[in-house]
Amino acid sequence: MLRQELPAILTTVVAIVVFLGGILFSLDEMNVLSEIDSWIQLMGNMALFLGGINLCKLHVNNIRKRRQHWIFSVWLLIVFGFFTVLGLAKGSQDPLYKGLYDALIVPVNASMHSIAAFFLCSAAFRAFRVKNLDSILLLVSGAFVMLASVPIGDLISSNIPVISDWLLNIPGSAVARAMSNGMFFASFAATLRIFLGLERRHLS
Amino acid sequence: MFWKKIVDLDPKIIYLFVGIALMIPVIRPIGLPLRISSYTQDFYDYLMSIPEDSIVFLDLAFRETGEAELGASVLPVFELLQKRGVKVIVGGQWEQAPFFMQRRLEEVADRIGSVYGVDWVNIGYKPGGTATWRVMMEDFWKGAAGVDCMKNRFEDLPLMHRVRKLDKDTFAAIIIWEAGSPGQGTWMQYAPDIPLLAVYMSGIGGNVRYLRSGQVKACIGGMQHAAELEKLTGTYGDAIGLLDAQTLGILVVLGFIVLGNIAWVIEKNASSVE
Amino acid sequence: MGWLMLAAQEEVAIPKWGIFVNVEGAVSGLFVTVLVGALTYYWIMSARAGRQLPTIRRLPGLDAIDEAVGRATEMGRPVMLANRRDGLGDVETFALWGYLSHVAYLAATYDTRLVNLTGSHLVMAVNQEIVRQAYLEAGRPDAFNTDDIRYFPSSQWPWSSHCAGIIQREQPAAILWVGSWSGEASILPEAGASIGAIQIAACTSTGQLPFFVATCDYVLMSGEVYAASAYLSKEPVMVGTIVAEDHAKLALIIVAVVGSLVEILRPGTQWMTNLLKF
Repeated sequence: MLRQELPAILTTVVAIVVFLGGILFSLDEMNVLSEIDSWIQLMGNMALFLGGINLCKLHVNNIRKRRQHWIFSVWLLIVFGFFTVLGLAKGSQDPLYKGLYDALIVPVNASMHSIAAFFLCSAAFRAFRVKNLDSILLLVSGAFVMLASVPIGDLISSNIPVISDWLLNIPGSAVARAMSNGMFFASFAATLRIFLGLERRHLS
Repeated sequence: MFWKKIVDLDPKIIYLFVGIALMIPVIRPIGLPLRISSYTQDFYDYLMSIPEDSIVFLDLAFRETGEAELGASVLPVFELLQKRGVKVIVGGQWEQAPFFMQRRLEEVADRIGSVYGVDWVNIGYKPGGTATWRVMMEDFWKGAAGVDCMKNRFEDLPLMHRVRKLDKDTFAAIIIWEAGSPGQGTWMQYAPDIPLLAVYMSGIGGNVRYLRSGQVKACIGGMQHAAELEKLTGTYGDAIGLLDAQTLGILVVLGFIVLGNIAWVIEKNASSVE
Repeated sequence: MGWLMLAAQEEVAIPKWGIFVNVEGAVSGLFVTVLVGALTYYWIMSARAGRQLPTIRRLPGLDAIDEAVGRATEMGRPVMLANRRDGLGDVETFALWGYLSHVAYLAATYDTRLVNLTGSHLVMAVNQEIVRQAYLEAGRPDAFNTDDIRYFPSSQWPWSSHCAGIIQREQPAAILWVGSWSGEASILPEAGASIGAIQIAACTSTGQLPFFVATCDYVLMSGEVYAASAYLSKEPVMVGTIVAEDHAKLALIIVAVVGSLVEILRPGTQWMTNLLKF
């Protein structure tokens, strides 16, 4: 009973306190939200610490059970340990720490991101086909916005940036707002059911 | 047969042409003329209207993957504000950017004579999410744990003595370089009364609705606006150089799209005749 | 001079209506929250009591899920369902479980392998139970393989590389991208397209929808993700929430239409905006 009931009760109580802390004048004067935020900040830092421990547990398990690609778990633990010790001992602005970060992490992450440029091109080649009215509209509007995002669009015609701005400002904004509002109510209602204790699947 | 091959073109051929198109301008810049758009002009005008000796918060909410597009506009903005005598506090809702941009900011600061601790401070990334920022709004020193990214104590940094709260009385504006979430939503929700300027990755796109509703005072996005800002501020850097590559890349993509559609239509007609 | 100094003192905060913080939208925010909360509670309780609820229409992407699993069965290749960002307690994860249990049930029935990759070890633990339960319901508990429910740390690009690697190695015939996504949305579906997989996206991130629309065969957008999950799972909690949320959206549409009409007829008054500022 406690495994599900206690966390649900705690969630509901804290949610009500946080909500009313931002609404009620008396609670605002007592800086209730500010105190809770300090505790959330502390818990966030603890979660970071726990996340590190969990990561190590998971990979030690992989190594112990000799799961597929276990050798990469060894490498991960070595790198994790090295960066943690170096960061704690010398700080994150230490030349070695920064040098390794700039030499290893930055190029690897940037390379993965730059693959997007190539993949988007092949995706656009496949997707922008004049099969029906929808795809024609997609193609034409995409072409205008793409050309307006580089200087050559303005060189070809000064109307291209104007049309692109109109597409972004009017239909684009309207659709983005509609989807955001729809998403908000979906998330809002789902969050409320957690606060009301009606959703317990994450506790099972 | 030829057109069928075009319709079913191996993506690797597209990658090859795009790769070449992106590399050529990097090796040999083309130097296409650049027109300043209204978005960039409004953004620049807002920066110029910030009073001297005010304090502005720069939220570098991106990681190294966003450095090319977003990082390109951080330095011109920083230099412009510092040259105008506007004080700057740098921080970030994401871990990486305040960390790896520190060196580049130091280079600019050294070049223009800005003094760390007096004219600008980098508080770095503070874990804890939105709770941390809310604490900073009530008590900046407490929320930031009283130290900057290099573990200098706030007591030893003269500028920080003017920053006790993250509110509209302390900061004239917040400028956010946003690559995703968490991002501008934090400021819109918890600090709606502090003027917000935004720099978006990959263009403004659907974010223009925040500009239209007034939640963002001015915004720019993507490499083109970063290049325009470099031109306006007179700091010629990465963005202007890389914009040519982006231009050629987009032309190659559009060329393939047109070719693909021509091939598709011909192939479709040929198969219906058969 | 004393009175001047007194006048320069900080203004004393005055509560709104005697008890509320004097901030624009404080009371209207409370009103909306209580209203939506009450609607949610009412419709969930109605659903649990077995009362007749408005029907959720069958979205086009839902048929595609069944087709996708069937196609994977014919080709003898696995089905993959992936989610990176959403942790336990995120609303997208609750939606994910609806898709996962349905796809797992189909996969068990058709004897097709299901590979699930997630970015949270806590979600992975729950996913294992959901899939195990689905296999049990399909009468195939022996076919369930724990190693197919996988976890990889949710750091964006490492996770994406890992996912792309799984796609290349496992060669799934059908891939479902469920939940909230960021930049990897421009890479992962293309990796799936490169092996000829049929792809269905149920994406709650509006900024990434263009990438999914360009690369996937079917896309469920924003609110549809939750509606489709409720349709598949038939959980009273999910169905009741969808009905409540639709009522709230209807109220918003009425407010927007009325406000726009008044603004057209009397420009500059901002009548609806001022009305809602209480």
